[in-house]
Parts: sequence; C-alpha cells; structure tokens
Amino acid sequence: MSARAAWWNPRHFLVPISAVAAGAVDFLRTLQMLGRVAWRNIWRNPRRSWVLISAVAVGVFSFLGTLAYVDGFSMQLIDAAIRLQGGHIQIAGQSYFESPVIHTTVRDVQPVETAVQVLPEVEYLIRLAAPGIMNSADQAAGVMILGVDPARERAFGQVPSLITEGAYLSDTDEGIVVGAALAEQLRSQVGERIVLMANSLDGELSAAAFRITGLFESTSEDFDKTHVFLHRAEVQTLIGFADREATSIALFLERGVDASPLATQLRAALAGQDLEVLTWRDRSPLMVMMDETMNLANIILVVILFTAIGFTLINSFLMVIYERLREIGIMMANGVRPSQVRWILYLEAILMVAVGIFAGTLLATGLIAWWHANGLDLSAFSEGLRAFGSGSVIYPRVDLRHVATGYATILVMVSLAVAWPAWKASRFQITAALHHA
Amino acid sequence: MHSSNLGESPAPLVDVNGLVKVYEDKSHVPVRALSGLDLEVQSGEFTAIAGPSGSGKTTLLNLIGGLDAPTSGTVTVAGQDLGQLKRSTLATFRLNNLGFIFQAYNLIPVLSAEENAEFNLLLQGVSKTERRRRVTQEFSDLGIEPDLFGRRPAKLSGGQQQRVAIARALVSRPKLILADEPTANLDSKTGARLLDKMRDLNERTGITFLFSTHDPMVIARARRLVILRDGEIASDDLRA
Ligand SMILES: Nc1ncnc2c1ncn2[C@@H]1O[C@H](COP(=O)(O)OP(=O)(O)OP(=O)(O)O)[C@@H](O)[C@H]1O
Ligand SMILES: [Mg+2]
Repeated sequence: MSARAAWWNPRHFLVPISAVAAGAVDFLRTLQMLGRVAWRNIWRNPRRSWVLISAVAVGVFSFLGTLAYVDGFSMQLIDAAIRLQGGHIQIAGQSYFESPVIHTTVRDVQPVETAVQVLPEVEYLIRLAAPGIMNSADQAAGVMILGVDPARERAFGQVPSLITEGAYLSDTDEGIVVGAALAEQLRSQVGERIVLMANSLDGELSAAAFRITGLFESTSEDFDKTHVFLHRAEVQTLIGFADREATSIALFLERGVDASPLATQLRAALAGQDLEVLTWRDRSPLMVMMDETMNLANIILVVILFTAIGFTLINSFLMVIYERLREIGIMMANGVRPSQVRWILYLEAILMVAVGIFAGTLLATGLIAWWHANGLDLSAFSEGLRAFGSGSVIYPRVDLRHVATGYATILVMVSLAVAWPAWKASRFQITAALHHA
Repeated sequence: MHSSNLGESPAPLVDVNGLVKVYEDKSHVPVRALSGLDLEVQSGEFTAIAGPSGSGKTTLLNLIGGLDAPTSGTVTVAGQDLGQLKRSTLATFRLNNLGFIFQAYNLIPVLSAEENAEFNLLLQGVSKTERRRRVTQEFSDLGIEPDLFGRRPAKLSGGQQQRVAIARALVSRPKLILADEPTANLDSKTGARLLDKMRDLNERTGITFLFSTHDPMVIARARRLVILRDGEIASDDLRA
C-alpha cells in the first residue's frame, strides 16, 4: 500500500476519536461530583441564593409576559396585514405573481376549491382582479378592480370590517366599495356614481358606472387609494372573464397555523394545472423581516432585564470565591483541575438560574393561560389600535422559537457573568489559598 | 554512570536538587525560605522534617507536592520533573500520585465524611462499588464509626476530621503522602493513635510518608529525621 493512500485509514482517526470519547466520559463522570458540590454550595447561604433565584424568576416572568404580549400584538398586526393583502396562501395562474397580467388566470376554480376544501379549518376567497381607471365628475385615478363574492367576504374577508361610512356590498347590490382616501381624492361621496374603465380580455376599452355603497379605511392608505371592490359578476362582464375563471384564490388560516406545509400539500394536489401556490412569506419579505426583527427585539429585552442580574451574579460570585478560598485550595491540592474549579462555579450559577427560570416560567404560564382565556381588552385605546388594524383585544402568543432564544440568551449572559470570578478562582495560587483558614 | 548495579540504591521516589524558594514579604523584601536544598527520599520511607518555625518545612513540602513553583532548582517525584508540567497535568499528577494531609480544615464543608473520603476516587473514575469498599475498609481501619459516615465536617471533632483526611489520602493509593503538621491541632492521645496508624500503614503497604512537624511524638516515631535551619538541611539521620 502506498503511503499516499494511507491518510484516510480509519485507524488514524481512532486515536483522536477515542481520546475525545474518553475526555467526554471523564467529564460526565466528574460532572456528577462537581454538580453535587455546586448544588450544595447554593444552599450554604440560602438567603443570598434565594435573592438571586427570585431575581431570575422575576426577570423570566417579565420577559415571558412581555414576549407573549408583544408577539401576540405583532402577530395580530401581521395577521391583519396578511388578511388585507390576500391571505396566508395565494393560488394564481403560473407566473401571475411575477407579472400580473389579466390573461394569466386560474382557468377553472372548481378543482382548486376541491383541493382547498379538504384542508382542515381553512377559509378561502375567490377573486378576479384587473387594473382600471376610476373617474368621478372631475377626477380620475388608477385602481385595482377586485371582483369578489360579498357573502364570503363578509364572512372571512377583512374589508367588510373596515367600513367607516355606508355599507359593504350586499349579495344583490351592484355598487362599489372604495377606500375612504380614494373617495376623498376623487371628491366622491357614498351614494354618488363613479365610472370604471378597463381593458377587457379582448383588448377593447370597457366602461361601466357604479354607485358607491361604502367606504373603508385600512391600516394602509396606499391600499385604500388603489383597491376597489365589486361583485365578481360585474367584473366578469366588464373584463370578459369566463364563469369559473379567477385571478386568485386567497386562503386564510387559523391564527398560529404555519402556512408552508399546507402550501406544499396544495402544490402537490394541484400539480400539472399551470398554477402557482405562494405563502405570505414568499410574497411579502417585509412582513418576514418584521417577524425576524421580533426575535432580535427579544434578545435586547433579555439583555436589558438580565444586565442587572448579571452584575449581581458577578458580585456574589466574587464574594463566594473568597469565602471558599481554603476549600478551593484543598480541592486543587487533591487534584481538581483548574477547569473543574471553573465548572463547579458555572454549575452553581446554572443550577441556581435553572431554578429561577423554572419558577419564572411557571408563574408566566399561569398568567399567559389566564390571559389567553380572557384576552387583554385595550378598547380604551382602541382608536389608536384601530390604526394598527390589530383589533382592540390582544391575545398572548407563545412562540417557542422566541422563548428558546430568550432562554439561550439568559444562559449566555449568566455564563459571561460567572466567567470572570470562575477564571479568578481557577488561577488562585494553591499555597496562598491554603493559607487562608 | 553505572546502570543496574546490584547494591546501588534504586531511583529515589523524591529527588530534590538545588531547591531555592524566595518569597517577597509585604514590603517587597525578598525572603529566602529555601536556599539550594538537596534531598532524596526513597520509596517506603517514614520521614519527619523538623526544625524551628520559619525554617522552610512547609515550603519544602509544598514544592515537593507541586503546590507551588520553586524560584530555582528541580523537584522530581516518581521520575517526573514537576517543573515540566502544566497546571492541569500537575493537578492530575497530584491526584494519581500524592496524598495531602494539612494541619486542619482539610475537608470540603458541603460533603459528608464518606463523600470527602471518596472525593479523589470519584475524580479518578473508580467505580461506585470499589469506592464503597475502599472507604469502608479505610474508615474501619482508622476507627471511624458508621454513624459518622454521613456527617458533614462541621459536625466532626478535629481528630475525626483528620482521620477522614487520612482516609481520603489513603484510598486513592498514592505513592507519597505529604503531611504538614498533621497532629498540631489534636490532643496528644488522638495524635499518638493516628501516628501509630500511619506508621502501621507504612509498614503494611509501603506507602511513603513525609511529615513536617514540631511534634516530639512524630519525631519519636519517624525512621528518618531531617532537620532544617534557615532553609538548609542542618542534619539528616536514620534512626532505629
Ligand atoms: N507566602 C509567603 N509569602 C512570604 N513569605 C513566606 C510565605 N510563606 C512562607 N514565607 C516565609 O518563608 C519562610 C519559611 O516559611 P515556612 O512556612 O516554610 O516555614 P515552616 O518551617 O513551615 O514554619 P512553621 O514551623 O512556623 O510552620 C518564613 O520566613 C516565612 O515567613
Ligand atoms: Mg509550616
């Protein structure tokens, strides 16, 4: 065998692997004893330990409470935005999202409805869409004309709940619902007539007059100025869409349900039909970014809450190592390695913090459960909240990823706080430590 | 150099060469605790180092035990030059080769007598049954009653604490036990009993004992007596 070919010989790796394994076994074995010393050390000065544990518990409680509130509130905001902008999942003709032309449609909504109806607890809205121009007596504006099914919109859609004047489309009504901001721009009122002009599928200019039945106001003035709502049948006539044709099908999920697996399921079910299935995450990077920003905000919250606790830890561990100077010397003389001295202190801090985290989590779980059942009614501030579109009752939301990030940040901070005292303790001159009775 | 000559003494367990230790006192004046000391200790010795206070006994024992580094000179124990070892390997060397008994407060306050005695064995990775076996054996040899096994050091007398410390030093089967005035805090009866026990162990198992002491009882039992004066060996006598 040539020397060149021998480098991959498994025997070459056996030595380091077994050394690492032996190290791990050695570590775990001694961890039991170091952990025992650490745990008992906690209870040598119960008052000091309880103060620290309570501080951690209160910190964790505040963190979880705030997190559940902020996550709940922001989820409600995001959810409201998603509902306004076309649902958690949207299905449209292939390449419509990339280049939204009126010719790109779902030719037949029937199989799509069949595929969606088998999904549990999913609502959907079928919409037609076409760009057009809206004219009042003396003004004009470019708009997106949306053809909807009023009964279903009233049941699952967002806009019917945002009416500020007049009423949403009734089942038989031939009117139009427009944003309050658009009405103001066109100097139109509820009850007045406007004219919509649009290119039909065959390229002809098509126009029709509608009476404004209601005005809405969402969180986005931009949206309000550019979206108008008609009966689906009216849009079919105006543009020339076929009866079972749709521009998009918007799916709405229960709060907290992840869209991705459902989208995957739909893609499989609708394969070969020249359709595209996108989730809100695919379509709206801005909202995804908002979601990610929350995670960063969390870490900052933990850092703020635990900075004071960290300094308390540093302080009390500096006291602790000098109080235990003699026994640290005894342990080192007997063969405890410097790294093991550090581990005793790390374990002491981590165990104490774990007790605090456990207690704080228990308290917070109680609060969040109560709050989940009752909601936090902020109707006193509901004028302000309406502008955010979140609704006036806030429900907490526990995002385990955010909670885990928070706990990990706490552990990192605790380890950082103990690092210095632990390092100091492991560098003690043994003879000097022994000298200390 | 001769090699493998009959009649030539084997490599010493402890070989101290030109050992110098200079401390700095509080006003940064150098204090010479050991000034170029040479000493060999053979395996199986039961040796006392005596001398006036400040003569360097504790300093010498600490350097032999690798608890401190010399200013110059070398300490070789069981063939290992201690100056070559890093802090953590030195710790492991102490764990596997040395036992320490100090004047008092030898034990870890949060551990029971039994847990203190098996402390080094746990670090060495000795199995639970073997730990129990050795600790029970050593405790009964040293006359530690079973009702004391679970007690913390604060609930033990000074003599009981010293016996637990001796048990801890013995159970890990070290080559050398370094005892710095082990009887200084004990009444003479308790001290005498423990010394007899240690000498008995030395005779039965061949473990080497090195004492530093002022105690005439220790000096009386030692088979070799080294007397230090001002950091130098003033006399070195083998005894009956
Ligand atoms: N950490 C230290 N810093 C400064 N000087 C020290 C230190 N340790 C020992 N010395 C000095 O070194 C010399 C030897 O001290 P050492 O403790 O070795 O003596 P000893 O023989 O053990 O004395 P004793 O019988 O009182 O225990 C003394 O002068 C002492 O003051
Ligand atoms: Mg001394």
